[in-house]
Amino acid sequence: MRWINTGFVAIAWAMLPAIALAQGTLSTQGFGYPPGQMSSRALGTGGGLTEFDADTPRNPAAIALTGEPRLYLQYEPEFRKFTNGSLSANTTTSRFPVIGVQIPAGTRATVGLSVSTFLDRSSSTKISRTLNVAGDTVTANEVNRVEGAINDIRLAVGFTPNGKIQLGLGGHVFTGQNRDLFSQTFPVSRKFSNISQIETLAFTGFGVSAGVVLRPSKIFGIGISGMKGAQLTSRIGDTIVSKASVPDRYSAGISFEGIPGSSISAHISRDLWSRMNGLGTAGVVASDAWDAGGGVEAIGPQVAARQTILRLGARYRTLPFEALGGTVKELSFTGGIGAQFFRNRASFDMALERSMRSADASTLSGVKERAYILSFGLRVRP
Amino acid sequence: MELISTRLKMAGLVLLTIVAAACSENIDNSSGCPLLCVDQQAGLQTVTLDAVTLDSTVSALTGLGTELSLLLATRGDSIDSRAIIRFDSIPARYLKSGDTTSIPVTRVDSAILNFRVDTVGGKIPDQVTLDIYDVNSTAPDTAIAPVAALFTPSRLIASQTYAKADLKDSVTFKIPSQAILSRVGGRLRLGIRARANSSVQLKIRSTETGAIPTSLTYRVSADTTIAKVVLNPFSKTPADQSAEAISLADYTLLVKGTATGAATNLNVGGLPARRAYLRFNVPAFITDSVDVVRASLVLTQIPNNQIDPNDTVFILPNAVLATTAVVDVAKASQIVATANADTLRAHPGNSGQVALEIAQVIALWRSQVAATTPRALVLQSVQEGESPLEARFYSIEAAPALRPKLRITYSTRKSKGLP
Repeated sequence: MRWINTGFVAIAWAMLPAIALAQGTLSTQGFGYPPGQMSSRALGTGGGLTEFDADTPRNPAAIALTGEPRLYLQYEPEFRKFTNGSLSANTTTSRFPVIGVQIPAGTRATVGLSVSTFLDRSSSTKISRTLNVAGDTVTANEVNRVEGAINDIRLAVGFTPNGKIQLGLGGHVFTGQNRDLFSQTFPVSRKFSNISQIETLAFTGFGVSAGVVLRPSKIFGIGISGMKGAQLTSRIGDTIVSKASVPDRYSAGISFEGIPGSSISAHISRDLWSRMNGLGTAGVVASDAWDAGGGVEAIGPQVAARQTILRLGARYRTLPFEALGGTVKELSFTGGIGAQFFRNRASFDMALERSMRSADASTLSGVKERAYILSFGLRVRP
Repeated sequence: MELISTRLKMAGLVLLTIVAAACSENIDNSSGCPLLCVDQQAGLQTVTLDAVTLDSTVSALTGLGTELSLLLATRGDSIDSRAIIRFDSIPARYLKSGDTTSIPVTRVDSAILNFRVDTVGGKIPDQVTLDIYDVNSTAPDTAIAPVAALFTPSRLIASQTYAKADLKDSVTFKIPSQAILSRVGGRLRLGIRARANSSVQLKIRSTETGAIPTSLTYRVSADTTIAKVVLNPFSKTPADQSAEAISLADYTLLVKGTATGAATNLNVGGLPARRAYLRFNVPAFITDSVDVVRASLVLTQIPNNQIDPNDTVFILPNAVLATTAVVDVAKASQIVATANADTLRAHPGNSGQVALEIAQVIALWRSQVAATTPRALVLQSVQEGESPLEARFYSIEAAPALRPKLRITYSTRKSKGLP
């Protein structure tokens, strides 16, 4: 019997297919949706302020002028509508995409620690399937739920030798978990046992980033940053399941403050997501992506004796993971408002983003995704 | 200014509502399936294994008197089954209400034996006569023949004939007063036999059921203010084994049982009751590595036309908990746990393959170490000891196609959590 056991084990494992988990939407393919690592303020300008905003954990040089300790917390629910022909579904995803703290180190430097959502894979699908179970045809209900994200923990130092230049360095640890919950339930009967599988995939990755913000004049700013990713591994328990690399990123931004009371900014970045290929199964393809946007931030009316700041922007990008071989595109229009409270020791920013997503795949011509993303950012200076 | 303030409040309210709504996450989206979920498929694989390494028919060994019902059956040459009910403590004295001095019992009237009848699976003609005999004797408690020999005309206490319609639920039998008076201060042991113009078979609920037990009631005085004497079955013997004595308060006296199948078969049920023991060698990956969706013990039935071939015998698979220290499979077959598995409904006269669903047993086996607790099942009749029905199956000594088999359907999905 031993040889039979051994044989069966070998056969059984050979028969077990590599399961690739699809999430049923365009934006959460692969390892998930990248919220963008932008503060509510930057989001409100279509990402235009990404390279200059101290609460956006992208360009470490941006924190150099913080000046005093500050704490930042962002909440960002996404209300998504997915349409596939005549079918549609509404979902709500809650995120806390950016949390950060910054402490000045002397008069010319600032140290910042931030945690931001890099890729959010939260999704769930339910389907019914007719199966033949040892001669009996039954309907099984399958639920595939994935929860969790890969997060970017950044420790950054920003330094400004003078008012015209800011320099920054950041060290990144990418960590997080994807909890895969799968259940298959059969009609209530003593014939069948339901299946419930829970697997937790943990990630560890590293990267370094550097950036500079140049202000050649009082009305003009240039921000340039980049991140070099190192190895990114996925593990189940102590076992490494797959390896790839954290995507490299190169980005640049400009800002123009020549119109009193306003700032016009733009941003473009190139994310080398393809470096993540191999971290998932062969069916998961990550493609390098462009992310570009711009907007305006201007002093708004006084409301309830408080000065408001209004923001408007637009953004276009491609998402990292292909859907059925097609690139997923996202076009967003954004708007926002900000104000300060408590003798300007706290400020609150709010942004609303309307996103439209589609995929370059003929089989997905009838599929579209629309989303409203609300972003609330609270900044406190104790 | 007032207007702005009001609008601000409204906007704040709307915002709060949206934020609150966003707190309850709903990420379920099935509209993209199967288009964007094509790789979610959880395939199933079915394997059929000759996994039985040892099987045997064993005696149920449940112990005399442990049955939930007492079988009364008189079926010509095939079955003769009677019931014994013991009242081993007939009071010799009684008390009047408010009196402290007891009075000797010298008078008995209105003596009635009350019992509950179970007609499920029974064979009840239009008229059934119950004969009650005095079977008091000094014969050993578990002896069959000496007690059966006491069912003689000279020991007949009374007979009562019932219409079929009256033999249901609670039934009463009038006992002559003299039968009790003669046993005052001693013990009264009653033997019950059913007879009819044709085969008859029915059951009396035993004390083991726990609900509304058989009782013997009678009056010891014409004064109706004196409560009736109510006695439940009670056995004083064997005096040194109280548990056995409790069982023997009432029991089935099987004078003639059914013939069992060949020793090479797996025989389940019958009288006296038999069980089938099957030990398995299950491939490790079944219990360790995969999710089992369905597990069936596939048996090939041998027709048994001896008695009631078209009736139904309910067969339950119980998981054996006996460790390797118990080498006698008959004894191991007593150490079992109900596995909440399927019940096989088999007609004794049928032939061909039948399947017994045991997925729950596989789940139990996961927690057992096969080296110390052999993976084994015991097939037993739900009506064990109460029904003559016996289902017969081929054992591993039969031709390969007829042997018991284990058919396992398992999920081939093995997620690594990776997309």
